[in-house]
Amino acid sequence: MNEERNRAEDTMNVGDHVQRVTPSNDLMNRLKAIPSKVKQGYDTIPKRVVWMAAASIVLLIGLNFLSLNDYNDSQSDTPSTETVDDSYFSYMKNV
Amino acid sequence: MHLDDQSFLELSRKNKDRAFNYLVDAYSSKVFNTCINLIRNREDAEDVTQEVFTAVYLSLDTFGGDSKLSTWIYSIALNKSKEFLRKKTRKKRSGMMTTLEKDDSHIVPTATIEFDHPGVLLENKERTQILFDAIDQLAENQKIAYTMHKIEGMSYSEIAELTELSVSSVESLMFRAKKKLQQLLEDYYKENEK
Repeated sequence: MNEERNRAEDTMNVGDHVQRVTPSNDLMNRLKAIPSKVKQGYDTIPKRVVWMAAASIVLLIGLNFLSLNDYNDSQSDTPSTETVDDSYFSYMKNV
Repeated sequence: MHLDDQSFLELSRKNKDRAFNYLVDAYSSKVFNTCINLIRNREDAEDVTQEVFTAVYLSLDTFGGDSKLSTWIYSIALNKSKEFLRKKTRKKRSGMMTTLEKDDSHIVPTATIEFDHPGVLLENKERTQILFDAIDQLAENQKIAYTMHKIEGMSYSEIAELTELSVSSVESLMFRAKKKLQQLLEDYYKENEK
């Protein structure tokens, strides 16, 4: 029992002898190259795709404005005296 | 060249690439050692270190100096290593399920990560591997606290800052980790004496 305990303790102490490791030159080069690789990544997105995305966004916003205008027009056409309650009761009467 | 956090922030605003180069020079060794002590394979640790620094570069603009620079980088390294280990464990489990379906024989799970730690002396290699296998059986937070303290040599307060725990929680994690490790290793030697 004691022997196992001692062996376990010895093994736990082995952790103190793990030495620090120096990163390889290859790793250092890979790390230093990160900024250029990231920038390259941005550059490789074709300009056509960027313009298409921008045009889609403009179109989407434009359509939203048009539908908002239509909605406002339709709201102003309906008689202002009619409230939600009125329409609700008239609907209930029909039912 | 050593920069305090404030001077680093100024450099980062003026010239992001130079600031990043400074970080690589100052922290690559620490980050790599954190990764290799948790992952224990040189090649995988190198890949994770690269991921860490890519994440650092991409989020350099958002670093406002709320936490210490070293804590910020270490926490990214810790999260990336944990992420990597979880992916590996998931693969290992799914692999074991396939084997179970195919064969009813007794299965001894083998580690999916090949042990390749250049910081371990040859004469200690076997015992260190036994220790690391036992550490792998600890709960994740115990494993991290134990590795950071015993292998990396970090203080309790540094670990507390990094893991966003109180110092007393780290102390308690370490206490439980040591107790569990002792038990696991004793059981291991009992089994192997037979």
